[in-house]
Amino acid sequence: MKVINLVINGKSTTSIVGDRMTLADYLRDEQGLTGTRLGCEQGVCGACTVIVRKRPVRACLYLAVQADGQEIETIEGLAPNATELSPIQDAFRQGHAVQCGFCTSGMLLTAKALLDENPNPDEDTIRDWMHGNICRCVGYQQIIEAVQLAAEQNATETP
Amino acid sequence: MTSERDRRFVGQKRTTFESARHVRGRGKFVADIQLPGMLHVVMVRSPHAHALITSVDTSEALAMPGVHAVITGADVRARTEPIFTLAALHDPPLDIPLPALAHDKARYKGEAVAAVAATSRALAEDAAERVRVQYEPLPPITNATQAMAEGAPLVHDGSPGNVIMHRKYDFGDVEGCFERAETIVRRKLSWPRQTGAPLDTFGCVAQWEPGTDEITFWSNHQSNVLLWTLGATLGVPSHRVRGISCDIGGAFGGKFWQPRGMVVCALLSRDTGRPVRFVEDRVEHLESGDNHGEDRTYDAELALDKDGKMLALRFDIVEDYGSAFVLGSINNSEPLAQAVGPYGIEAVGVDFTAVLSTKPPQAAFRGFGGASLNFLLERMTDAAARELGLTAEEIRRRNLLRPEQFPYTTPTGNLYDSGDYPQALDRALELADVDGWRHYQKDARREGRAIGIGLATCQERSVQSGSALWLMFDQNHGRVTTAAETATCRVDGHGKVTVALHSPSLGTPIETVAATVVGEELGVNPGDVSVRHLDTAVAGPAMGPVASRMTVMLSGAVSGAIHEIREMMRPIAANMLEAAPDDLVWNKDELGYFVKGAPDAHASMAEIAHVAYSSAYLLPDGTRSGLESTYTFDHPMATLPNGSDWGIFAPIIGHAVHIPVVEVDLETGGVTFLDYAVVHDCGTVMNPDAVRGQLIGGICQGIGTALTEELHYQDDGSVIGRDFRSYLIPTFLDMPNIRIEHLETPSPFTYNGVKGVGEGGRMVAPAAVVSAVEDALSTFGCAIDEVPMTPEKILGWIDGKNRR
Repeated sequence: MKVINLVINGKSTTSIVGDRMTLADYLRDEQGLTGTRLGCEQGVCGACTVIVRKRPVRACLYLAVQADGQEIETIEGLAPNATELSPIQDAFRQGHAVQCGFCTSGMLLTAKALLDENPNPDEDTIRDWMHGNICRCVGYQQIIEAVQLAAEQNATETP
Repeated sequence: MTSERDRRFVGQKRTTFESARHVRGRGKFVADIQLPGMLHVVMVRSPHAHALITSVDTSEALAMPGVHAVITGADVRARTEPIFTLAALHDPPLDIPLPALAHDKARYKGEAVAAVAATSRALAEDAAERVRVQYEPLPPITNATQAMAEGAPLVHDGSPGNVIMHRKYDFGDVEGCFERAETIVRRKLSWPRQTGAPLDTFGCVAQWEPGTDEITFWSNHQSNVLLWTLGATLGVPSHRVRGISCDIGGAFGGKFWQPRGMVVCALLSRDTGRPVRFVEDRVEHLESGDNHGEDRTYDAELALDKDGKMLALRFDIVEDYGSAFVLGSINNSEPLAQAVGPYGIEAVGVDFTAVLSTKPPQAAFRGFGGASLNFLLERMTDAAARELGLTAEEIRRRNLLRPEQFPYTTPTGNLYDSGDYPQALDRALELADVDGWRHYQKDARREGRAIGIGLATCQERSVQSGSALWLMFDQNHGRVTTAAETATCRVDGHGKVTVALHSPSLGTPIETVAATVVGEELGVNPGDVSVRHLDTAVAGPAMGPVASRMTVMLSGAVSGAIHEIREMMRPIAANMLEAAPDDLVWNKDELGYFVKGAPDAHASMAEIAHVAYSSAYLLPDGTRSGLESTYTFDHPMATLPNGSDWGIFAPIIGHAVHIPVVEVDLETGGVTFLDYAVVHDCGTVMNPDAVRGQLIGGICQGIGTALTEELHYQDDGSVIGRDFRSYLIPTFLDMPNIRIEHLETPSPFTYNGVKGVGEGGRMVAPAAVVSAVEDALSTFGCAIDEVPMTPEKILGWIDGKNRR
């Protein structure tokens, strides 16, 4: 067991965690942040993607103890408040980039990390950045369109 | 029913209800269910594909701290009745049990033989490793040829020779057609096991209530109605089995019949007095889940006359059903709803053999076998075109049914409701710019590049009758399961509308569809409608989101319920307005009843609702308080099989033309898409974005089917494809952008002419992509008769294997 101090969605937290607990299990079971999904638990599908220090990581392959001292962003921290959505969330809705919703959290966080680094990515860049996230329902085309839509919205909101 | 001109919400863009929670991470999937005191279940699984179980020792596992219970196959056998499978409906019943935990022997690698319940999943996994199971390995059977070989070991003792069914059918004058034929094309094709592989694996939570002996399941099962059958297995009356649906993270047929984990969890909950949860991990889902699709070979002949008109199709099919016969022969009977495709083929002959093997039981995968039958028919069509020197489009033009032939009865007895196939083909050829691509192909060929233009013109049947499950059982049926769907609509005392679905949601998006229909029929904004899901304790007949049926069935149920509520409001409003009920007209803009010819005399829905809920003294005689309707919509056309055919069982027929353009890398065998054009007809489009999502997602799976996905069984009975590193699902890097145009030929039998759309993309794409690759490799003279077309196989074809 180890004591970890971390910041989750802007809020400081201290926890005691087992050595073998993954960050995904920690977020889901200890913090009740079940929006982080587990689709394969071997780092292939990307459903569990969260952002650690601005970079997307696989929470299923990342131990909770590694998160000590880190800033973590999960799907629950993406919307600015209870009634509004962030541009990328809104674009996923408007662009019908969501079907069953299971891959959506990971897709959104990967897309957010991309847009934070590159506010105006072209299609190839989006495909390259996001190809570690698998969608089995709606296909990828609408997700690419949604990322582009969010990029446009970002551009108009921040001249 | 509204006319096209008057439609308010049907066919309009509408952001889905479901996405509102999912983009916030607030969907509630089964793995998110947390109950006080909940235990976690881990299965102990056989490392052998076929082995006698000689002993199981649970003592060491049981002694571990945190372990609350361990059960074995023997416990399950002693404490439950057999799980219901369709094998029981065969006459005589087939002796092919589906044990929740194997007790006498393991029949595939990964079959569960024991289960542990502990306070955490990690502890349960540790304990599962301490369950000591002794095995005596037997030879595995990994394909139908091995299964039927002389002296092959038996999978089930009650199935001699491992053959469970053999049937032969002639629909129409097959012999006569073949005698008349000028040309007969023959091909052998194969289609290996694949699976839907939803990101959300199967899971359930079971909670037994000791006081009432009720069992409640939370699960991602996609058909609540089937949970009732668990009561008999568990010795609980069916009305004390309650199923609560979670959000389902994809299913694709693989969560249609999932009783085993539920039986195990129910027993463990009863033993421990606690709720227990089981969620498959990825390897369990792929290697040992109840979700694998069809697994078959075809030996087929197509008879054509001198003009290239197809007369008859006949095929022998050998299907490897794995270790049980869970869904009966549905993966073979259901596709025969559209055995002749969009073509005017007069007769169909089927010789069907079903065998057992040491693989997991076959279940459903998006299309109930329809994708592989479309593949067969389109491969035969292309082969005939090649034989006759016709282009792919010309042979189809000569054979497509014409619009004036609908409604059309096929040789197997199914009805095609409507369509305009020649128009779909012409528009697709134009959308794809096939002529332009053929020039490009020619030029590229000179540079040594292999470009291929594919074409598939396929049917997408929807709205099944449950009789498809046992059509091949050949018994004196007398029963058709019409697979109804139910919805409950309520206008509350403030005039607000709630619709309750009796089936779970895959996000496809049936909640949005239901609200759209409420809006259309009542006039309220669909965004103001609240949508809920009922649990099975109070749900009516509902088959759930399978067989591309929900849009048709749910719109029938919701519109029926809304019309009943409107009729409930009519006499109340008439009383309020002191008018004759027949003089009232519902006004969708003002949301209320108006008196004909007196526009000032009206009662709003809120006013009527207020009276209906709280002023019984104002109600006319013969009415009661409340405004609620539960309406069950039955399959619009189901008929019984008769002596010569199977009757109507899937009559709502969509259609699609897919034209992919590919480049094959002759050095690596890799396939890249240059374009992918689709003209698609699912009748009236209910929600354009949702239809597009179904199509593109389905095509994505179909491309996986065509190029990469396979559960590949090795000689020792183990499978390659047991995780996402070897079961290769298309990614962002593999999928082309799909260009789609819609053609709408409304169904005369459904709400506003809608047709199903859920399985279509995957039913058509494999045939289309194979034809494109074959076209690209045409200079090498190869004929492609199998999927997936892996780079290794493509290089083999280039090197001259399988030349014709």
